[in-house]
Amino acid sequence: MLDEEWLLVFDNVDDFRDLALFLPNGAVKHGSIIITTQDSQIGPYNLNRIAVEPFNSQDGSWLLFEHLGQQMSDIDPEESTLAEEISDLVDGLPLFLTCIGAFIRQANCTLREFIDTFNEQTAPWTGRGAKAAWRYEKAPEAVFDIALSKLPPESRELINILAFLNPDRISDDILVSDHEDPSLQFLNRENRTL
Amino acid sequence: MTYDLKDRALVKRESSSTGSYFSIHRSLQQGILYKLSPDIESTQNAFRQAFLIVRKATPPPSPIQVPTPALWKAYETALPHIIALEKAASKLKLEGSIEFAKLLSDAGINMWERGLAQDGLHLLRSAEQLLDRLHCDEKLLRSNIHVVIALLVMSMGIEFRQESRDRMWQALQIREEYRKNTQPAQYTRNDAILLHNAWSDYGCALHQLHDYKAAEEIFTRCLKQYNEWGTGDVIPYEHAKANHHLALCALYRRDFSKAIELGERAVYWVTKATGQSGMAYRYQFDLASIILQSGDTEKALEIHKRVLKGRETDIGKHGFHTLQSCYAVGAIYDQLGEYARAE
Repeated sequence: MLDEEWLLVFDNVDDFRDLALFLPNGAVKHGSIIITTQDSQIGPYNLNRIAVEPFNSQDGSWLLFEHLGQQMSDIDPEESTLAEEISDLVDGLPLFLTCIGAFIRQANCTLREFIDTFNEQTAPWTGRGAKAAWRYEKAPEAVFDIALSKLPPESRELINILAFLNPDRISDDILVSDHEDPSLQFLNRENRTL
Repeated sequence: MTYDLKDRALVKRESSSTGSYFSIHRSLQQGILYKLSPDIESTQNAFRQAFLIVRKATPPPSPIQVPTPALWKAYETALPHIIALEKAASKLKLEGSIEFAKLLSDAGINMWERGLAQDGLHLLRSAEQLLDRLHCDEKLLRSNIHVVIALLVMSMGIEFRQESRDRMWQALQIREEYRKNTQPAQYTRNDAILLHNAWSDYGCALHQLHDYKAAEEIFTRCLKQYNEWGTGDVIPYEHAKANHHLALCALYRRDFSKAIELGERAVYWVTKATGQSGMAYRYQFDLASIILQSGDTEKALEIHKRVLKGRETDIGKHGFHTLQSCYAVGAIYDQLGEYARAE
């Protein structure tokens, strides 16, 4: 093992201290370690940091059209310009472009209508404190405001609960149960299937 | 309800042979928590709902502190969510509750059963700090937390032995005080078992500080009480513990045949009580170590190799106790002059 090549990947690390037990103590000769994280400040100073760049305007617009189910050959230049503008509004971050695509499809609105809605929503995110849980450095998070807006109350309540749980594997079996507390009646087995 | 969430790409749905699952992007989680946080009441409500869901999915541990592998599957589902709740509560400085402290304590106990010392310790210390913040006595819960933290730090090196003994002593004092202040009619057999567990655990702490004479007196008194309550068939785990601890005392006196006899009895009763559990492997490991000291290297190696294989399957190749077994097997090969195997 000591003479073989190896690669160790830690994906989406929240807290560098979680890795302490698993990182080699001495010099690494034949292997590499990749740590992915959303926190640009994580870890010791001597890590070789590679920032994953967001999409440029054109790539972002292509991703958006893909989520809208549109072929690039069918897009007229004006729509393409609007899509690039949307990509720039969210700094080309694919997570937000995915949400926007889903919102536009569901709300059946135009790209221009979305841009207008987005611009109306941006204000509430601007007053963030230094200790906010939020980690992105810019403020395209208004996308989430739009995506979360006008959700039925029970869906909004459920996603608030999901925000406190482990994000990767939330089993239906633990959500839908015979809950006794009145605040969870909407998740009772007899009332619904997810 | 979830159609809207899926349709807006707020959650993903995945299925496997074991059921259906949600996943949600971490950034969206943080965004929701950030937006919720100025509204303390809404944040507390959502946290409480999430807590109730996780609590329902988390079975309480054995009331008499017997390791229970049958509960591990349920804990495998619940533990990631308990850790997520603890992180969110800490980050958002949520008030928490005694019930939440109890959940953290239950998770810590399960992690102790699996040998996950660092994670278990973090959750148990967090439970203790939460009780402090709430200014809660909750002495019996604190007693349980003391015991398990003491057991966890006991295996983390000699610098923690004093803390381990102090915590065992505090747990014992709480249990003695509870006995004195409880009407006999209300004082249950489980209460009495827990009191003797506390004595036994304190004896273990004395073991660690090499005070085998004082420890042996305690274990002998405990075994006498267990025999009055019933044979090993009735309370196998208590008999297992007493025999195991007395085996180490006999070893200290260099009475090898007695130590092996007691150690074998301990392995028999612990296996009866908990199945082929982490605790059963621990007792087999200690029996192998006693046998090694008695001079029967081949027999010791055979048991150590069996324990190593079992631990690799149970807690993985890099589990703390697996590595301990790995070292033990390597050390015996070294002793036998089989250096290549030892390496």
